[in-house]
Amino acid sequence: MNYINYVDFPPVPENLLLSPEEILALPRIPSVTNKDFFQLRPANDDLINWCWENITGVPFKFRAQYQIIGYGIPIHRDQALPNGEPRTLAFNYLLDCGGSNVATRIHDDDYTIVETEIIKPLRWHSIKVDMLHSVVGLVPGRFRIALSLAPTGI
Amino acid sequence: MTVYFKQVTISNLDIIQQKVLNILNREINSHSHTHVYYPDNDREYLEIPELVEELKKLGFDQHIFSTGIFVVAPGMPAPIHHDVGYKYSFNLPIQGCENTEVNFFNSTKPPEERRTVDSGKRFYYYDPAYCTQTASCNMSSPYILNTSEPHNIVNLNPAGSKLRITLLLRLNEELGDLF
Repeated sequence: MNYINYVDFPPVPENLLLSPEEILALPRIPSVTNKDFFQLRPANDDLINWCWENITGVPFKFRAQYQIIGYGIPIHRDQALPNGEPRTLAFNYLLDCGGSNVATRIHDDDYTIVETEIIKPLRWHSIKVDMLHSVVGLVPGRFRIALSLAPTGI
Repeated sequence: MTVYFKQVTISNLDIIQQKVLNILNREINSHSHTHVYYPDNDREYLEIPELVEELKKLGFDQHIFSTGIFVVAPGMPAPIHHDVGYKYSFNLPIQGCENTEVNFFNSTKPPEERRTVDSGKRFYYYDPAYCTQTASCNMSSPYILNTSEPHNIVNLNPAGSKLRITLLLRLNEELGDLF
C-alpha cells in the first residue's frame, strides 16, 4: 500500500501563485510551532477561492495556505484535528522542492522506513499523516514550499 | 491512553557508547553524585558519525536542540519531576544502565517549580506521597520518552556499582506525536 499518492486534482493556474520569494516575504500565520523549520503563510483570496471551486474529493473542509519547510521535518504523526479526530490525510502541491533529492518518508510504529518518495513539483499529492512521517534531504539554506490544504471549520 | 515511551533499535550502540564516554571522561574529572550535566559544546557528541547516521534514519539529525548527560548514582531514586520546554527526549544508555528504571506516575497534587542544583535548569517536582506509578521501562536500550509526564529514574544497583549514565537528546518536536 502506498501512503503517498498523487491525486487527480487540477493543476493550479500559474497566475494565481506567488513566487517563492514573494511567499517568503509574506507574514507568518499561526501554526503548530513557532520554530522556523515549519512555517505557514496566507494564500490570497483568489487562490483560496480557486481551490474551493476546483478541488473536490478532499474529505474535510479546508483552506489553502502556503507551507514552508526549512532543513527538514522530523519523524512525527500529525496532531489531531480541533474536534479531536485524528488527521489522516494532508494534500499538498509543491512549488519549490527544496532540492533535487528531498524525500518524504513514511515510517511504521517502530520507526522503520516503509515508503520513500521524492515528490514531484506541481503535482497534487496526498500523504497519510496519521502514519509517522518525515522529510529529509533539503539543500542547506533552501526552503521547501508548498500550497497546502489545511483542515478548518470542524 | 497515555503512552510514555517507545523503545528504539539503533545500530552501533556500543561504538556510540564508547565515543560518548571518551568525550565525557575528557570533559569532566569525576561524577560521583546524581546530576544532569549540560556540556558547553554539545556538537562534539552530536557529531559522532555513528550517532549522526542513526539520527538521520529517524529524521532527528537537524532537530535536537539540547543535549545533556544524566548521571544517576546507585541507591536513592532521582526526584519525580517533569521536564520543561519539550515533550520528547531521545535517551541513549551509555554506562551502567542495566538494572535501572525510568518510572512514570500520575499525581493527585500539582507539582512545585524548582531548579536543579548544578545547572539552575527549571523543572517541576512532584511529591512522591501523592504519586501512583503507571508505567516503567528499563534503560538498557535507547528509548524516546515523553518527559512532559511525571517520571523519575531509579538505579537499583548496589552502592559501589558504576554510575548510570545516559545521553539525553532533547527533540525539537512540536508538529505532532511520536508514538
